Amino acid sequence: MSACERAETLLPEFFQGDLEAPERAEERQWLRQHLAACGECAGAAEMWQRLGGLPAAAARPQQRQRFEEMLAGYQAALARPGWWERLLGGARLAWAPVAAALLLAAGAGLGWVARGAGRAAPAAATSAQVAALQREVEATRQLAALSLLQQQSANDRLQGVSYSSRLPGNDPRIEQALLHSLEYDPSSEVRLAAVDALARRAAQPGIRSGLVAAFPHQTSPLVQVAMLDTFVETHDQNARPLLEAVSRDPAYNPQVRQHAIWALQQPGWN
Amino acid sequence: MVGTIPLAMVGPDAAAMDDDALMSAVRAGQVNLLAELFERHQRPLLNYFLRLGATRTAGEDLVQDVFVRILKYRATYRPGSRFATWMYYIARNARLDHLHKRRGEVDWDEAYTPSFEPADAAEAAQEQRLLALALARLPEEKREILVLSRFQELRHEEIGAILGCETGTVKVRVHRALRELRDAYQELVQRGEA
Repeated sequence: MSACERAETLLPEFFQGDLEAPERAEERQWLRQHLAACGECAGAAEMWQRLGGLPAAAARPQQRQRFEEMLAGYQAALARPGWWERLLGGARLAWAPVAAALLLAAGAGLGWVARGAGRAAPAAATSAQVAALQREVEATRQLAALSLLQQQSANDRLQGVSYSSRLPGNDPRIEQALLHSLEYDPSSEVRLAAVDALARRAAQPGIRSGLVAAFPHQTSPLVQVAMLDTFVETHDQNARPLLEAVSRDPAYNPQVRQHAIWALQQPGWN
Repeated sequence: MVGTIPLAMVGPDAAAMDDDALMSAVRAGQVNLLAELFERHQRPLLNYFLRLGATRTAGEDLVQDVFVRILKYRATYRPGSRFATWMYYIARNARLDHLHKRRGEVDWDEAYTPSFEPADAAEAAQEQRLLALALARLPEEKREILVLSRFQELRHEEIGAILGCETGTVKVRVHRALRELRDAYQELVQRGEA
């Protein structure tokens, strides 16, 4: 590194005050000496100093007020029990995975006991017990899936989506959780997996309308394209105006717009 | 569960906490402490957007958007890291999303008229006006790296984390941007523009 390169690297730190530390006194001294001897670097330092002299705008009081309103609204929303807390009857979220795991273990244990009991029981009674236990195990699986969808790790949430997609039936809690993931999950991978899981349940009108409503919130072109594919597969007439809007809106990624045009050309819309 | 806590009750304890401690507490559920972070960072954040060409209205909207995103994605904050780096990463994405959504509309001033005029324009130094104009004329990526380095006082490695590039690359880019700014400024001085 030449002397001038070293000086250029040190200049930002010099003006940020980082070279004021006692352990960096030598570097500070070296820089001052170099600036005194090198016109080029002295010019850069002067420009750096002038930049720092540019005035800054003051924040207006309305900005603070607007923030306070937003924060108050957010806190009020937090104070209301969410779907997950209602589901667990107010149990603390931190215990949710533990509760889900315990329920899973309980379900498996009951299944083992029932299998042993079934050997001696009459066939009809066994059939009813097995059906009841199957329902219980299914409920446990749902709880486990919902728990995973709430985890901080994106991998866990991905697993939750995968688990949800394998569950039979049309549990509105699972559907709501998947739609929530699609709309709010920070990971585009999780959102993409949620689209796939929801596509398998798209026979439900609520899912289809949820997908249409979630589309404008998406920022990832990959997720947008996956959603467009789902609209084509379901031929949802309610999605058609959205597709037409996307195909015309220059704010969308060109590939997404192109895909919307392609989607509208697919047979089966009428 | 977190209850609603009046902002006035954020209190002196919050003022004594550093950014990382505050954000870690926000992440853990004490969302009222975000008020202290807002107080500390709203002005630098506003000026970040203004210096990158936002109008006053767009800049204020973006500041609000950044703090909404901080709340929304608070679980992704890593305690022990530097809050400002994370915040400017969010701010940069918010700005890019804004530009993407508003493309073709007029609320983003591509030509850039400095909207951080000093309170008393009559007393503003000619050199400051020329320098602001020279900064405005820099290509987007060069203006951005100078703003992050000089005005937001982020270190090279932090800027690298925000822009997604190596520290060495940041040093080279800062150097080139500063040189181009000097050239643009000197050209304006010679032409006597104001």
